[in-house]
Amino acid sequence: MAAGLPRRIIKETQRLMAEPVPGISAVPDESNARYFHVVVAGPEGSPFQGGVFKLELFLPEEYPMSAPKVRFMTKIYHPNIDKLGRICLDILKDKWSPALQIRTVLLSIQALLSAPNPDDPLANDVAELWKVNESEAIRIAREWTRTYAMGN
Amino acid sequence: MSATDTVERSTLGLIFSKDVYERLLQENGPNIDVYLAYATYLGQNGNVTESLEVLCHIYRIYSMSTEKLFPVVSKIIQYLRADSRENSSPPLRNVFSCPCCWGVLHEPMTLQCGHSYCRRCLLKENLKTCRVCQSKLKNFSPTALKNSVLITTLVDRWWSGEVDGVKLRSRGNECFKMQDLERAVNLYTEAVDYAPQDHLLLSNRSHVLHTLGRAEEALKDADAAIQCQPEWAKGYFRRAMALISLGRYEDAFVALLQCAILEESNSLRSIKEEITKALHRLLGRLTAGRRLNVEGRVNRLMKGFPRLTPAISDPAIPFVSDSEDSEDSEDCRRQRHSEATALAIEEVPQIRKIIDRFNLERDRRKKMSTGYVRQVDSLDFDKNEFECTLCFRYLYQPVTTPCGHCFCRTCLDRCLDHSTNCPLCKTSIKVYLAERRSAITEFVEVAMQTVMPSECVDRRRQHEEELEELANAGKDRHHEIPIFVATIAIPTITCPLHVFEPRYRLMIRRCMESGTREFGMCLPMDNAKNGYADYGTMLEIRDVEYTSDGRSIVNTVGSRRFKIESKGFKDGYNTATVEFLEDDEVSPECLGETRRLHDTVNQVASSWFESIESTTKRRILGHYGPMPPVEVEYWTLPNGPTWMWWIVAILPLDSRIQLSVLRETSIRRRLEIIRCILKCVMSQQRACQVAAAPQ
Repeated sequence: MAAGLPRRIIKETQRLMAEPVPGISAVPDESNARYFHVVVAGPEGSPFQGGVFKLELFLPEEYPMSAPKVRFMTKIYHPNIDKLGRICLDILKDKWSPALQIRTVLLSIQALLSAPNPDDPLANDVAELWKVNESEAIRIAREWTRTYAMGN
Repeated sequence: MSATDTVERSTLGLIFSKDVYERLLQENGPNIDVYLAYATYLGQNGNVTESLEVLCHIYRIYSMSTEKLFPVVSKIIQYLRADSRENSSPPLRNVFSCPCCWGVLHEPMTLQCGHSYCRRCLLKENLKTCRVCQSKLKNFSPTALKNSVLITTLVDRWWSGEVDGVKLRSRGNECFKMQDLERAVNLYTEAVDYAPQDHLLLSNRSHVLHTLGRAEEALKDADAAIQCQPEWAKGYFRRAMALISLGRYEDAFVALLQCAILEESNSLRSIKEEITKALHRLLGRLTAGRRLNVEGRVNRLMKGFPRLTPAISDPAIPFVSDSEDSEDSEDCRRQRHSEATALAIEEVPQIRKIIDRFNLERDRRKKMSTGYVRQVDSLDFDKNEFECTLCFRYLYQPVTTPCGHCFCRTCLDRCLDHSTNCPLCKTSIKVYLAERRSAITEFVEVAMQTVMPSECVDRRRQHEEELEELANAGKDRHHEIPIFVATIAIPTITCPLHVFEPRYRLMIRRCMESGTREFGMCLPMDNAKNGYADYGTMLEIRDVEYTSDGRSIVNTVGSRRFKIESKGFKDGYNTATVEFLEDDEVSPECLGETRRLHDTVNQVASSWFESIESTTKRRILGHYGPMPPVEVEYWTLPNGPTWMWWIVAILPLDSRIQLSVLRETSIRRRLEIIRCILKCVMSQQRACQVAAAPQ
């Protein structure tokens, strides 16, 4: 059976509870301490402002040697997030370092919402529109935010 | 034996007794080289006073040069240093100070051996070995190192005044270099307010004051530096320089001797040169006005060599000049030589006094307090600073990367399984990995033990418990063993493994560190739970060869077989609780039949092996060795006869069939399976031979 929860995960969880990241809440699942229910508020000034986005974050067995697995549960119109909610973020892939934490990951995701990067796309159609007609892309993103990320 | 012989022999390192030198001088007359050899002999054998007396004697006869004096001084210093090392423990080192300058660590950098130095000291000193542990510094370039982040924080916290002092001192040093001496003194004086105990500062100010001709003040600063660090050689050097300016040669000489015995580096040339100069001046003064003259000659003669008295009753010996600098005429010199023939080397009270003073001061210094000791303020610190950024616990066995970051040793090792970059700054730390470094950063460890001893004890206990847990692997059904999923391993058969996957690097390291040196090997199986077979074999690690990139070749050999009871995970690799398998007992009534079957199958196996093609056979012999002989009472062994495993290993079998043999705990059934396989293989071989045979 899996060994007890590593000290590091316990500490990270405690600290996330004690000093939460502004605009982000991350609560461990009652039955699985490695699974977090995350809610990120759409950053101000971004097309996602006003939206509340649900994510799931899972700490694999090898964490912190391998990156947490994070996915958007709420639909979002963003060039770096695909239909399935998968996120294109370097620190979740090859740029992961064990010195990073849940907190830093969530901050990076928040920053990604503020600054979409259509040059490194995951959702090609979204990225294309973002490059060709940014105002239209932002309009759709706002609409999606209203439709999927508000009032639920 | 001639005098030249003696000199030659003495330079060859032959040791004469005192008598030999004295007789030589008596019989052959005075010879400067013999005198010098004699003085050297006395000096290197610890008769420093007598050695100096011989030198004094030489000065009364000859005009000496510092070049001739230098080798004698060298030998004396060599003796004094050895003597002082033998008779006293090395100075207590302060782990919070730089091993080079003994000052507060300014821009600290941690070497591969775990000792920390000031950046400037490392750049200046060009060290080949660590001053503290003497370990060789491999591929070491101070410019490739970055400041140690944690130590910098701690130094700034605990000794900020001293750090400010160092900054002002550096500015002072710059001014000194630019010849702006007054300004340098002012900066040093300002710095003293911040760091009144900074011996380097006091020593530098002493140097500048000395250069400015303010010898009294220079002396005061040198003495203050000595007060701060009584074991610091340079303080005595500064003192000596000030004393020379003040014309106090005897005191200067004593201070220089102290300096020579304390100096840590082995480059003593400049100190020896100063001592030679000081001694030259001193002996010149001592002999001034005491050059050999008629009256003196008679007295000494009577005292030293009574039997020669008649030879010098000649009153015609001329008066010898008192002045040390006066040019001796050839006649005078010859005359002096002849008269000295009979002259004994006499005691010189001043020299005795000087050496007594040196001994006294040295002994007093040993008894003195250690001077200023840099201590940590146990009330002023932040526990979080000592937390490892990888495991979020307090640092245990802290190590420092070349980029200056500090982690628990095992945490960093684990990161290096995955990446050769520093987890914090992403700088490549391939060197650290390639050299398999593991030296603990002494400063951090000692600081932690000082300010938070109980936390350190707890942390150590945690580590030991974890290690014990690993060491208990497989001890009973509650303790999981690590499982390597790669191939089928067979008891008694060697199994070399190339370990490159991060999780297995970790696993092998843990097997080695916990001392178990074994793990389970299981065959991958898609349809089985967790993707591997429910039976396996323990592999004992014989040795591990690491490559510079962290991979390893692990040489193992199969031992016990096991059946898995439950499967789990630990830090990325598989684990399992197991039941170890042993062969069923062979009942007495079945023994005869089993043995008959065994002998038949053994016979078939060896004739099959004999029949196989020679290159294949050679390859098998090279890899697995010859067929093992049958053990006595093989039916009582936990794994049965060894040759059966050997044959299972060499037969061209699918690993699933090998597995079916492995899990079988009845010798009889195993024999039956093997017999069946052999039959099958042999008939196939025959079929091939028939097909290949010419029509």
